[in-house]
Amino acid sequence: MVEVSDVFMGFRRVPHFSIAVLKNSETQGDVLIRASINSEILDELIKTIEATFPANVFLVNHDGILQTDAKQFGKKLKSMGIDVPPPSNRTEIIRTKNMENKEIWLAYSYIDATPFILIEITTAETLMANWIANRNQLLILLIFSLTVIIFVVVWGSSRFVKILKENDRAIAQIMHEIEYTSKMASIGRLAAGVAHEINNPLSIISENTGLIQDLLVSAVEFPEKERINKAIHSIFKSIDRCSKITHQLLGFAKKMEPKSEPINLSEFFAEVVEFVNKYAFLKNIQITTWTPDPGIIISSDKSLLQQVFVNILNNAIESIDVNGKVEVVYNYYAEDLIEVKVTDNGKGIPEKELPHIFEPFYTTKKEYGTGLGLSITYGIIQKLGVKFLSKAKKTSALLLLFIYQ
Amino acid sequence: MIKVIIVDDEEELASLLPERLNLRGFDVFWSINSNDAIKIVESTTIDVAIIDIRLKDINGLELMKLLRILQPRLKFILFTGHGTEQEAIRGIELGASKYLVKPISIDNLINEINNTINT
Repeated sequence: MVEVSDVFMGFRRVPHFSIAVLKNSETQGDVLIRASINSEILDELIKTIEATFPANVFLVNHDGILQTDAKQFGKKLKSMGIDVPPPSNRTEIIRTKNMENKEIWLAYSYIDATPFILIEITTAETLMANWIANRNQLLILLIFSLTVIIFVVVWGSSRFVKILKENDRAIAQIMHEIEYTSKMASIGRLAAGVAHEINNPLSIISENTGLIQDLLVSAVEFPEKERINKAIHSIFKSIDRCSKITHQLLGFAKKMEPKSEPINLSEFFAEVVEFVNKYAFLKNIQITTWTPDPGIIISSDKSLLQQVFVNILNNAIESIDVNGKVEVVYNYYAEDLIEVKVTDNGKGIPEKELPHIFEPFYTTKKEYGTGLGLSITYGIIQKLGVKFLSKAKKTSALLLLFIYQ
Repeated sequence: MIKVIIVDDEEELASLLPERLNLRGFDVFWSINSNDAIKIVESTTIDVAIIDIRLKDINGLELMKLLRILQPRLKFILFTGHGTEQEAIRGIELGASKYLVKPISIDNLINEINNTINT
């Protein structure tokens, strides 16, 4: 029979344990052999195990008293601070908590014929360290890849959408221009037809009225004569107005080849301003012209171009009640790109009216406008191959770009 | 007395203008088609022919050519309700003195007649 004791201090104050062997001998009777062993031998043994595992390995007795030094659980002969695991005849692994309430994995084995329990404790963190490191690396990689994918998808799709939108806008612009040009052309044909049909009856009205006037001159005096004369005068005034409109309509519809001649823009604008200055002077409006390059010479039809700018300047002047200024700024960018900007501090054109400003008979000057000025301007500009960009909001500003086609 | 012929397919206009010109001392003939116009010019010496470019039975420019054959010294004023630049240029090239767009004021017309005769 063999008995192994717990580790204890004994008289020499050195931790040790005893092994006692009792043997029954027929010749010698009961023989008891007892050996005291320094418990360091147990520590050495434990250290060799510990060296191979990242864990706390130690021995305890069945009461939970440490039999070897344990790194995190105290010196030998102290309580290990954890409940003693239940007895078992094989190696068990349980999950429990240590004194700091951290989760730990505890493996134990009751050693046969001894009071010792071999315990190996590992924190979940230590056990999972590699796994967690791998998982973190994977996570970082995943997040990085996701970021890259999302960025590429978002950037790519927004770029794609932008390109599509730009294309759509360009197509809409072209369609709009085509529509506008054909609309203007049919309005032109209509205008010519209307002018023709109206001019003949208008002539008859004019001649009949004239005849009445002629007859009245030679007629004897009668009470209503003056009244009739007044009426005749009024009819003539209306005929004049109508004929002005039909003539302008014909002007809008006319298709003639523009000439091409060198035009010095500085001289040109000086002449144009001279044309409208009298009108501007009456309303106390100052017209200024400015260019960074006074020597710009372009090739175009001077008289047609004059009509264009006289019309535009007149419109600018009309948009100002009294006391204002109109500014003409022009600049040369390339042989086929000249910018002319006409600004005034008048009423401006409301945005909803912008699409209509070139249509014949569209006018905001209800009492005195024929609505033909800008439509004629448009017709001329089309003939000259000039691109006309109009931007007008609070202040009127017309931007002309000469792009020769 | 200055002799004038007016050719316009618009009958009312063709008859009204002569009446007014008569009152101002002109001797005026009128017709609404080319046949009548040719008959008049064949039988009478005319100073000025005032012709609408767009007639129903003939182009005014063609009529102008025919009348010139009948009377080489005849002068022409063209007028129309629907003027195009090309027509005007063509008319002047064919020897018309003036090209007018309707409606025409009587004073303006008389001025043009006098100018045409004096040149």
